[in-house]
Amino acid sequence: MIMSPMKTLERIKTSSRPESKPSKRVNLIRPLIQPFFVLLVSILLLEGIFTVARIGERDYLEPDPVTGVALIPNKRITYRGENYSSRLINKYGMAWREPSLKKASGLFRIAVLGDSMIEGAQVEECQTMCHFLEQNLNANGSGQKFEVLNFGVPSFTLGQAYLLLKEKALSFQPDLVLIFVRDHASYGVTPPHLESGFPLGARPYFFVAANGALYKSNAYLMQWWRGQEAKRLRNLGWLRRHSHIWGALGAIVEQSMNWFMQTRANFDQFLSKACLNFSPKMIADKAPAPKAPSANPPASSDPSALPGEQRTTQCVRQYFPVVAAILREMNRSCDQKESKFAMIYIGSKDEAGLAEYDLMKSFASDKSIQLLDLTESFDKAQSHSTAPLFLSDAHFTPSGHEVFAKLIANDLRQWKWFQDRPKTLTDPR
Amino acid sequence: MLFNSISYFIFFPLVLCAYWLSPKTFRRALLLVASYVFYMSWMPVYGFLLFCMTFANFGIGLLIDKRNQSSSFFLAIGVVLNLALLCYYKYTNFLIQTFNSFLGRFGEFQPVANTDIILPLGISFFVFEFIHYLVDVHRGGKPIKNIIDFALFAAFFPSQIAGPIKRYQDFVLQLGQALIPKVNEGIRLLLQGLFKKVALADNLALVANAGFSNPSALGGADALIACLAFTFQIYFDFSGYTDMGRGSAYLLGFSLPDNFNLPYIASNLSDFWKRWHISLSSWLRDYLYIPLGGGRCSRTRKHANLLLTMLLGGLWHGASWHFVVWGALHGAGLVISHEYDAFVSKTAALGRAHKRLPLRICSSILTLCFVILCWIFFRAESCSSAFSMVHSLVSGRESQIVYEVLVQTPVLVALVLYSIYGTFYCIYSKMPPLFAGLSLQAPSRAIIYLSVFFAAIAFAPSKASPFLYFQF
Repeated sequence: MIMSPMKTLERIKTSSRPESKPSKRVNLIRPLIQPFFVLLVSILLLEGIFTVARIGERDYLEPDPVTGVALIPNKRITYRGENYSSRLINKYGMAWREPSLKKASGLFRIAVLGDSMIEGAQVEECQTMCHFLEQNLNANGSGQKFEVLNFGVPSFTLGQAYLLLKEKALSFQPDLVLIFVRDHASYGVTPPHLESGFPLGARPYFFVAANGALYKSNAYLMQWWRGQEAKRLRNLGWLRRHSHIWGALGAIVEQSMNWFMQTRANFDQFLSKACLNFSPKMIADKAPAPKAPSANPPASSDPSALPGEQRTTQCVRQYFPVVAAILREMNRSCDQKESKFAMIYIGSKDEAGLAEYDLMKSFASDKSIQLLDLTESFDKAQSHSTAPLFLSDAHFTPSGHEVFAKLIANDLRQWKWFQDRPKTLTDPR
Repeated sequence: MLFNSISYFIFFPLVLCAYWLSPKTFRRALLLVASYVFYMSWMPVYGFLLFCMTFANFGIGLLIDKRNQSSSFFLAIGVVLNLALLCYYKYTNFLIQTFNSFLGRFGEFQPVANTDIILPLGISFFVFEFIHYLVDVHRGGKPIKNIIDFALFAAFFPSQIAGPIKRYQDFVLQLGQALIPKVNEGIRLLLQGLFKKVALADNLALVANAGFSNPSALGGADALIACLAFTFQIYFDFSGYTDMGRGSAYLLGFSLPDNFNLPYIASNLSDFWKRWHISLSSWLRDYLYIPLGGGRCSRTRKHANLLLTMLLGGLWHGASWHFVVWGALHGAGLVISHEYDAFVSKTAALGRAHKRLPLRICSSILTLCFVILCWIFFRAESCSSAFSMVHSLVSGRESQIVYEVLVQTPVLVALVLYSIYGTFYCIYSKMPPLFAGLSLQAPSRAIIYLSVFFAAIAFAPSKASPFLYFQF
């Protein structure tokens, strides 16, 4: 049979075409390629979206081998809670605009150290005490230019602030260093509880030797540093610094954990109620016999072992010498760098607070350190203020920061050294 | 239990697994138990109320079905019983307050104290479902003979608290069929609803609340932002809930009626009510407007029926006068809209012009403006507060209270994302051939679902707000 040329050609083409046997390799790879590609695109998209929407920007503390805790440099903090704030941590690890290391001539520079009250948790940079203080001082028309630097770090104790002063703050050549000493500061210098974790448990410990010298012990910090939590935080350092997805995930996990704890508590409460309704006798039988209250608190060097009021009162007695020694060392460090040192203090009215208040005043007068005592003036301002000065988590509201700054500025203006100092500052150092 | 709560994310997968793994004969009972657990997780004692109401309506339904002389009497008893319960729980305090304020005008008197009644969740919805059941059985429908089926119809958790208001005929039909879960559609609706609720509605709630908490302090632009925020909040909130309910039902093999169909592009007010809360508007049409005479009577009577239906619809939404004003405004708007339609249909040129795109767009914009204006009365705490907001809208004042909240929330990004998704989905559903080559494998789909779930939760504000329609 003679075939037409076209048919012959078709036949040749068909026969010459290799058989399309699916290779095993292709079959294995193909199901993996698409999900991998989808995963990659999803991650990139989510990162992009979260960056634009400023989601997942609440992780801003990292472990630090010296101070225990530090703000993550160049990280944006966006907080959407009771208040809204979005701030950028500068390259020096300050929740503040970027200052120049070298001070301009004629500039009066004030470095403020402290915890989240100074850092300005939950408020914008322009709503922090440091911003209001700078604004207030510059508005007095003296011609003197003031610059305030915010060195506040959340959870910082006095000891950590001292280390930050030596490590960082003094290199900015401040003319004046202000340290915010919180009420019950003595409790802040007790041995850290490692089980409280990051950031509260991760800090060096200070103690005073018999000769009155201040010593730093890194034993607790190193023990924490070698622990699982520190390792995890260090290993995840890159993600915590750069990934918005990671930040958002952290917030979700935190919320879920809170929910689980709340649900568990509710469930326990429900069960105990149900059991009580069912058989009060059964519960009474199972309940341990109440212990007789001990007349004397246990003799322990750990103040946290003591209950409530006694705990802080004993803290003050036991640990104020450490507070005093740290403040003395801060003053000495400032003196060495030709900076003036002063303390901002707001005392509380409970028994321990009053004891600490007296000790603080006598310490300041003994050592001739300026104490900007805002205890009374802040109370007065709070009672006269129409706007709330505190958020529900005890941080200042923007109004609180403004009042706080105003009171500091007033006290500074009444201080003899401060009144004289600006006149000599026009000469560059 | 909220659809957007962690409890539901644990509860629903457990129910889903137990449901599909259990033998077919146990599935309805299991679903009923799950529905009661869902309902009683909020306030256990109201589970008993739901049970009693279910039992009573089931019995009355059977009595009506006997079709003797007293079936109308039983219907009346059933309707009165349901409405009495609704009135007791929902309107007692409203009546006391109205009574107090009325008598207070005539001089000093000892006001009657408010009661501490807590409104059972979803009572407005299941009361309407019971009434529909009794009326339809009275009209000749076949009653549900199995108590478990009837109890499931009343307590079905995907639609239990905020609808959609089901029709028992559809539900029973599904119970009789072999149920097949629509997995992809179910998950899509669940995620869509979650995103609408937590990423959009909850963030918009912050903006709207900032404005409506102090309307007299707002400038014109701020007031407009607050009104727009509430307009979209209520849509995303309610349609998000419905989507999650429908998605959950799909995964259980059921299908619930759709409640929304792009209501804000409605060309007139009648069209709006065909697109907004469809299950309620159709219920009001079938069991209130039509029995009142509907449109098959004199013009005046028809308008009066319309007004009355909308007034009662307004009152159904909440026991407060501003809801009545909201209903009255919609009623008046519908009367005007019907009159205008009649006028347009008489004039050929005008009729033709109305079919053209520019006028249709104008008509949609005008309808949306009116709907937004009405929402002010819906959202405001009181009528005076609503008037305050209207005054702020036209005032020349300047303020940035609401604007600041708007830029602080991530809602604008969420809105852009939802618009992109909406456009894509619209194209996808209208022109499937375009996406013929795009087939996603199950793992890829799972990654996308997880990403959307994660994004929705990440966008959520730290404090979730309850579903708006829970209060109705």
